[in-house]
Amino acid sequence: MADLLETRVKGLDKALGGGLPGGTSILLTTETPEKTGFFCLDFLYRGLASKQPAMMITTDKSPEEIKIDAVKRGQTFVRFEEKFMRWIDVYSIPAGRSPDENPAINRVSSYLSLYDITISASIFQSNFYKLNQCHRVVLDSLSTLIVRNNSQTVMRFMQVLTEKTKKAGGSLIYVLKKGLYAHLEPELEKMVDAHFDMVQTDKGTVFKILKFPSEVSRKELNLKVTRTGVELG
Amino acid sequence: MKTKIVSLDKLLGGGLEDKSLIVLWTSPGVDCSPFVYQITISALNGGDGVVFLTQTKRADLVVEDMKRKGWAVDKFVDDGKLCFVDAYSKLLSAPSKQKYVVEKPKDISQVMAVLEKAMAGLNGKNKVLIFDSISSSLDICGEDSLPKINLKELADKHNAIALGIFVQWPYEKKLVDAVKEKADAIIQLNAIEDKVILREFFTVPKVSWHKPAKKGVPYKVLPTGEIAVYVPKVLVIGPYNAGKSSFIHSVSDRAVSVDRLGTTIALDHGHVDYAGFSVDLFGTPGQERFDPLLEMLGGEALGVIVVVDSTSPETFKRAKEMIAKSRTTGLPSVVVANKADFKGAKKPEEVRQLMVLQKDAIVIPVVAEDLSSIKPGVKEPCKLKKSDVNKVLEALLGKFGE
Repeated sequence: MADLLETRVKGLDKALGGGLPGGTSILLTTETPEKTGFFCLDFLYRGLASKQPAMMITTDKSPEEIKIDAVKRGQTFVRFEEKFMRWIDVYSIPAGRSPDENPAINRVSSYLSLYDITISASIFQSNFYKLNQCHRVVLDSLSTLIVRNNSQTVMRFMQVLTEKTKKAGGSLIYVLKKGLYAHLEPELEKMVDAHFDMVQTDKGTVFKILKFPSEVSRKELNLKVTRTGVELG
Repeated sequence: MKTKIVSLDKLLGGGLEDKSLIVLWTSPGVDCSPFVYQITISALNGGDGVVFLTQTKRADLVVEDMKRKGWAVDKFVDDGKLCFVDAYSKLLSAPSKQKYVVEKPKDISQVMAVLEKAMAGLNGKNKVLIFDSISSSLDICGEDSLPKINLKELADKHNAIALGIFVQWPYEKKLVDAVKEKADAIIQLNAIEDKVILREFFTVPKVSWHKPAKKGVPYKVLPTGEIAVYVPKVLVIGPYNAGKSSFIHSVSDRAVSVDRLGTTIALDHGHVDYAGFSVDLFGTPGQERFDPLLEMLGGEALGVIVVVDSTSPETFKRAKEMIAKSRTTGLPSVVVANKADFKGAKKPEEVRQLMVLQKDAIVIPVVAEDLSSIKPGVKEPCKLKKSDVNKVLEALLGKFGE
């Protein structure tokens, strides 16, 4: 069996039987975007803490806003920005903002510039590989890209990004907000190795493992947001 | 028209020809903008006018990006020599400050009609059309819009050069072939890629007015925005007496060694032109006291050739240590199992196993050209069989081109 990458997200590795196989691509469908955001940041942050570089491709918030939110939960991404943490900001310029330059952040001109996203990702991943043969990527969200582009274009982009990330030893999460694109889920699921789902119930947030390359011990877990991240149990 | 990228102009047989469609072919992750900008500037500086179609970003952001990358184009925008056709803003129902705006950017006929208008109204000695991009048009207007992207006709009518950008996403082969078919010339940007993109090179696989040379030119973009030819460095490492100098001297068109009593004490340097690539080889001494050189040279290397003595498995550990010290893990690499015809020499699969290499690691056995020519006491590098060393080069350069 391939080496497993411990996600170090509390409770997740146990459920997955040790962690993620190297270079796993994941579709994370959600109806609770805020908690999904916490989960994704926790996934990146736990990697950074064990010297695994991380890259966040953000379409719905600026990296600056995300960093401020994360600090409130005790996660200071800024301290990793010298080498390990990189952002591709697809939000600020289309939103008409003029943020300060930061070498850890590449800003892309529009939601349609998928080619520019791949250029930034390649530059960052080339540097990541010198630091560690594993890294983590989150794209939040696929839904926003699909709104602006047609779905076939985004799927081609996904195919390329997944391939490049796997080759470079990265594990990658694509966030898809449920609702508008439910009809695309089966096709998107075929393109990835794993599919997680987050739903809101009366009892709280449930984290479901719908698809995974190997047997998992539990298919449904409760997700709690704690003061230091998230916890699955 | 000269692109002013000297090695590219040579491959194109002098430059870009009027009334032709040149496709700048790239792949996701490989930035083509330095080429687009340099060709735009060369045209503008030569007194030509340029129409620039933008479909995925605002025109002012293209100008800003050009400036950030070293090309000041404001004066050309002001005097109307550089004009943009905005086929982006209306996709978002946003206002546009450009003179030429496509109201329905998803309709390729409208895009072409506005381009026609812009070309007709353009000032300049000659005209250049930058079409950014054919692939975006296929994505935005549909794949069936390709026959309507009449860039060649537009170039013919206005005695212009049309440069169409094409990013090769995973499209159907039929569609990709149809784009190739349309082009009078193709400038292709490729990545030297193993786990990640290491370097980029360009080729010119098609030119209708000139016989293209099969040559890949690695390049780098200078801080001034200009494109310069880059000579890839390949590091040749291995334990003491494994045959590194012999390998470099045998494989190179020209080589020098800094040695003392037949042992390399500084480095070997060789240069070879092979399979369209121009490569510099740097060999480091095998003794531990020279290990600081490993990291220094490893940082700049694009590939590694590890030479081991097949008859001395006890030295394999040292070879692995040298790979680690040169920090080249992950670069394209080939292991040369030298002295493969000697008694007791380990076979490639044994070398792979003893060195604990990955299953797909390439190990190539190499032998001397003529063992009888090696005289005791003669300290010159031994000549290795040309076909063997070429196999090594082919395997390594093949990895560059993958």
